[in-house]
Amino acid sequence: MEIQKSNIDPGMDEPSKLAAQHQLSDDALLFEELKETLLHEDREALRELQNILNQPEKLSQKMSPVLEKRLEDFKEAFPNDYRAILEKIISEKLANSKEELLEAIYPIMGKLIKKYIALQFDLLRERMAMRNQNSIWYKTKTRIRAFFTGTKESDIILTDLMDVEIKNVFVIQKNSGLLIAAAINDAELHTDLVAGMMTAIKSFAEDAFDRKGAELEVITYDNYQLLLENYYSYYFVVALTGTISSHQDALIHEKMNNFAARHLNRKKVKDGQFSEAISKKLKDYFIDNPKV
Amino acid sequence: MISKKVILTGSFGVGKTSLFEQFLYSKFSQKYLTTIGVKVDKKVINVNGKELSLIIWDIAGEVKQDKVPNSYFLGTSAIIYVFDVTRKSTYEELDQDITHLKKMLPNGITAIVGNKIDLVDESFLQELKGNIPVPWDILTSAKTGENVEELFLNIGSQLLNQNT
Ligand SMILES: Nc1nc2c(ncn2[C@@H]2O[C@H](COP(=O)(O)OP(=O)(O)OP(=O)(O)O)[C@@H](O)[C@H]2O)c(=O)[nH]1
Ligand SMILES: [Mg+2]
Repeated sequence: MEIQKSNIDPGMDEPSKLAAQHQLSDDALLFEELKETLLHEDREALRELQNILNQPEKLSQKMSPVLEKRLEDFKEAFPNDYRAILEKIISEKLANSKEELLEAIYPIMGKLIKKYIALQFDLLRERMAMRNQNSIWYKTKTRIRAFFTGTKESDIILTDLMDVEIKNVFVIQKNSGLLIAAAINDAELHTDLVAGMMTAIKSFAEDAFDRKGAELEVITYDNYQLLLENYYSYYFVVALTGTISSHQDALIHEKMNNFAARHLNRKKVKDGQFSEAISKKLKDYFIDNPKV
Repeated sequence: MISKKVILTGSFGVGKTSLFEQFLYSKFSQKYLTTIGVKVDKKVINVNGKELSLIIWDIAGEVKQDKVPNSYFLGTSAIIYVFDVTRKSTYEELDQDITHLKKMLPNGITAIVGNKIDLVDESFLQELKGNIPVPWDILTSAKTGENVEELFLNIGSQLLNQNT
C-alpha cells in the first residue's frame, strides 16, 4: 500500500498567509523584549559560563575538583571492572582448551580411583590369607617358598592365581576407531581391524544399553580378557590371557593411566594417525616389561 | 600413512556388503547373508601416488537412517549411502535419509550410490532419474564390479584433497 501525501488542504489562501507572517514578526519583537526582561539574570550567567569555557585557567580551576572526584571513583571501581574482564578472558580461554584439560585430567582421575581400588585390594589380600590358613598343604608349600624366596606368603598366594600374560595392547581413537598405537604378540593380528571392530562393539554395547556416560570396561572370551580404559578422545585396550585378580586388574589399569599421562596427549591422538613411536613405547612398557 | 574412516550405509539388502567385498577382495556372492552390527575392514588405496588407508565400516542395513546408532557416525570422514535401483522402498525416502546423514556429518563427504544396475537397462535408469527425490552420485554393480573401484577411489581422492 502506498501512503498518500500532500493532498491535505493547508486551509489558507495566499493573502491571508502573508498577513499572518507580518503579524508574527511584530509578535516576535515583543516576545524578544519580554525574554530579555525576564531572563536577564540567566543570560548574565550564561555569558559568565562562556567566559569560563573560553579561558583554560579558569576552566581547569573549576574542573579539577570534579575530575579528581571522578578519578577517585574510578580507582575504587577499577578492581571490580578489571576482575570481571579478566575472569571473562580466563573462562573463555578455559572453554577453548576444555578438551585439552579433559585429556589431561582423565588419567589423573583414573589414578585416584585406582588408588582407592588398590586399598580395597589390600583388605582382600588379608582376607585371602586368612582363608588359606585352613589348608595345611597349601600353607606348608607357601611357607617353604616364602622361606626360600623371601617373599611374603600372601604375595605368593596372589601370584599363584595370576598366570597372566599381556598379549596385545592398543591405543585407539574413540569415535573413529582409528588405531593410534599397537604392541602385539600375535603377529597375524590385523591391528587396524581389531581397532575398528573393538570400537564398533564398544559403540554397540554402549548404545544398546543406552547408559549415558557409561563405557564398556571389559570384554571376555575364552581365556582372553580385554581390559579397556577410556580417556577423553581415545581408549586403551590390554588383551591378556589367564585369570586376573582384582589387584592385578587395578595394577594394569594403573599402568595404562601412567602410560597415558606420560606419553599420550590430545595433540598426538587428535588426527587419528598411527604412531610408530608410541607403539614402540607401548611395547617397552607393556610387553617387554610385563611386570605389573 | 593417512587413515580415514568410511561408512557404508543404507537400507538392508541393497548390496553394501557386496560392494565392500567386491572392492576389497574382488568377489561376489549371490547368497544374502545379512550383516549383524558392523564389519570393519581396511584397504590401502593409491591416489595420484599418495597412499591412503580406508577403514571401511559395513553397517547393518536400516530402513531409516535415523535408526543407525549415532556412535557409528562419530569420527567418520565419508559416508557411502547405497540404495537398490530395483527396489523403490530403498530410495523413496532418500531425501529424509540424506538430511539425517548431513546432520550427522556436516563437513563430511557423502556419496549416494545406486547399486544393482546389472539388473536394469538404460531406459529404466532414465525413468528412475526423474522419480528419485535426490540425484545419485554414481551407479554401480557389485556383481559385475562396474564402477565399484571408481566409487572408492573417488572418495579417496576427495578425502586426500580435504586433508591438504
Ligand atoms: N544382481 C545383483 N545382486 C546384488 C548386487 N549387490 C548385491 N546383490 C545381492 O543382493 C543381496 C544383498 O546383498 P548384501 O550385500 O548382503 O546387502 P547388504 O546391503 O549388505 O544387506 P544388509 O547387511 O542386510 O544390510 C545378496 O543376495 C547379493 O548377492 C548387484 O550389484 N547386483
Ligand atoms: Mg551387509
